[in-house]
Amino acid sequence: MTAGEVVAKTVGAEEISASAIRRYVEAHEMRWPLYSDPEAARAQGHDTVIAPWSMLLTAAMPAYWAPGQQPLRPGALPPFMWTKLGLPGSEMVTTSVDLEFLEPLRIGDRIETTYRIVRTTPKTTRVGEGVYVDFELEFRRQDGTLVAVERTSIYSYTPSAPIRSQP
Amino acid sequence: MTVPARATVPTPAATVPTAGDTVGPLSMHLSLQRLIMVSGANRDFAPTHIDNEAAREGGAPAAYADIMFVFTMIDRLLLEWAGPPAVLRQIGPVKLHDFVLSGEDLEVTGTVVAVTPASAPDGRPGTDIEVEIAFTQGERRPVSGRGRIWTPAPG
Repeated sequence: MTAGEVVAKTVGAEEISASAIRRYVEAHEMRWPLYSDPEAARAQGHDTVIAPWSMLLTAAMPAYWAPGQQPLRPGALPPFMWTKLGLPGSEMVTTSVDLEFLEPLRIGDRIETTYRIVRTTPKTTRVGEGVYVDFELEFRRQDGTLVAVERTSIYSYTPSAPIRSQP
Repeated sequence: MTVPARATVPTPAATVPTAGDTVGPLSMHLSLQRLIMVSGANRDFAPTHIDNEAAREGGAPAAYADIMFVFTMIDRLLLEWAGPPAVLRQIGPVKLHDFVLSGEDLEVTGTVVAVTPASAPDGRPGTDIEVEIAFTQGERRPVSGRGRIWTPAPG
């Protein structure tokens, strides 16, 4: 685990679809017209509605299960890579997240994610002994265009006392 | 059990904003049903976000919203205030201090902290607007963070 190292690459389970956008807008009661009104989106230079910017991580999420794989275990977590990177310690808490958007998400886009470690800082805190890991994630659509960058800091640690789970 | 619906939608900004302007509020009652709808839409099926018992086993008082929901409320707050020509440039840094809990009302508010002339990548003149954001549930303030939008120059 060294700075600059690409530690994982994933591809979103499916292309962004009109129905996925509609369900996202519905569940969150999103009123910004470009997410639901093709005319309003065209007036701003888009071909049709765009996906909510905040839908990025949903679009980037791999499938939980596909034919040929083992049955999904009860309590399965979203198939992001954080828990599969072999970070030291038994517990993990996200301390800061930052998303920068460069291009809108469009119907038909499929999002590939590259995980890179930027910095590691060993530190003992009140919850235990561990390491702060700063990641940079690049999100690209099929044509290679960089659509967004995520900067996330995680504290991965071994608890020194019984823990209370974090958000 | 009936929980009265309560929802406030951000009022669109009337003029070019200046530092100190209030953004929002945006409010929503965060029922467990809402979190289950959100889970179906955002594909985060972690039990702590849709099952009170699973959340309590992990030390939380009830099921709680995930980070994607937090991002989405910031998306809503900024763009419903800024209007259709705006572009969302950044969400964050976002800091999680406590759980955004189901069974409680949520209010999200912002304050404009910086207004800076900035061109779009295609050269159009406009303005970058940076907003400081707080999530409030009763006396608790579980999330703080920033967001940044770009709006084109009028005309």
